[in-house]
Amino acid sequence: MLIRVDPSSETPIFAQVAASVRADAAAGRLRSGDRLPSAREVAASLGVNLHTVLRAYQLLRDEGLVDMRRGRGAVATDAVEPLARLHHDIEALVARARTLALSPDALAALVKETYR
Amino acid sequence: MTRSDEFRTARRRFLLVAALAPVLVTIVGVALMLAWLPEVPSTIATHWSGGGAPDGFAPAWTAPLGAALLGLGLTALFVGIMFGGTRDGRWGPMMRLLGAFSLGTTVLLVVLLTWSLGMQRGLDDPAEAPGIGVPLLVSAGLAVLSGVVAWFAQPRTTLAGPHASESVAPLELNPNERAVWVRTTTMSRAAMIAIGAGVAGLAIGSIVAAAVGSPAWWILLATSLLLAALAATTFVFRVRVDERGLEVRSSIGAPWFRVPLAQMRQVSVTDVNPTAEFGGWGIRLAPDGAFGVVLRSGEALQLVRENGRRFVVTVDDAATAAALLEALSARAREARH
Repeated sequence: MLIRVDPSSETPIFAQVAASVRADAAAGRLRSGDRLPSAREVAASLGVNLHTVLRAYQLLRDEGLVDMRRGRGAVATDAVEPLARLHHDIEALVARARTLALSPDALAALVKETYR
Repeated sequence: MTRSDEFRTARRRFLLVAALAPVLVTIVGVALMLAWLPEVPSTIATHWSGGGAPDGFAPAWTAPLGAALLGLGLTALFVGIMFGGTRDGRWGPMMRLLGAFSLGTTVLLVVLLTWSLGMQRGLDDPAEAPGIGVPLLVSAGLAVLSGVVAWFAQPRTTLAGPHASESVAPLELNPNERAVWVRTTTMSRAAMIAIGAGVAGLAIGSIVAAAVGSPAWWILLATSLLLAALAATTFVFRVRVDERGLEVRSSIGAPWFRVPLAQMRQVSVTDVNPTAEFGGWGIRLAPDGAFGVVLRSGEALQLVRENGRRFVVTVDDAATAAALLEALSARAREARH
């Protein structure tokens, strides 16, 4: 799986880590039952604080995407599978929004509005 | 010469040196032994102690039978490995080495068995058999010599798979962006079973040795335990790419292998054939100097190091790892200038 963060972005680092994990699930790189790298390993590799990564993992646990188990670390749950199934639809939608010069925030707001 | 011509030539030479030659050696050896059977005692010396005196005996007819079974059986095994490993039309230096090894092994066994029987002609008591030192030295020398000849008798052919190594476009990273790619890679079930069966066979051997009272049983048992431990460390690896470079680490924690970004000359995605390129699974060193953590066939990340040697690890999603390495290397190069 690929986790990327941009410290110069306005989005908090923990939210970027969580978004990366969601993107991994959507791209099929993270499957149900896969073990996420330890928070310590991710923190060392990205040069960010351990608690930042742990906070991201807790956020993903609250969303039901991962299970935190003592000794085993964070494990992806069955909830990641639907994300992978939406992958092509999301890519197509984003590509379409790009050609229409729609901003990411506007697209997200539209999706949220439609979902309600 | 086209690709399939090259493949056929390499395979024909392999069959010549690794199948035909060992079979001929075996036939000559067995024929000599059969001709000598009337001249040797009905029970012959078959094992010698470290001091040089014979300490193991068997009926004379077992010697030609053993030579025939070993010579033909090993040849069949090596030829089987070759056909099984090169079904996809790939060839590599490992096959050349396997061919050389096939001839060398048969020469060693057949010459040694034939000589040890031949030198007992005219004896009344097999206990008077001369020492085995000289026959052992000479047959080992002949084995090495024939192995070298077999190596040079084969063409230097390397045929990559249908998907030769491909470079990938670097991942798009913002100047401040940091990224890490992590993936677990697991040995294929077939390879795990093969390794497990090998270790189990040795463990059973040590139990049999203990049952018949052989003093060697604890050496066998210690060896099988050591092999089991070593095998267990090579079943699952974690592969990581970040700003420090590539790290491949056993899930147990050791062994681990690292290649710093600064040592990478080229990054690509390739397709590994374990038998043809590395002679099997696990942590492998190929004859051309390539180092591999080879856990299955198929997709792999490949680096060419500054010294020109390849570092290969079989892992899924290798394209993302390669793209990240390309991006991080480019950034590191820019920072140095």
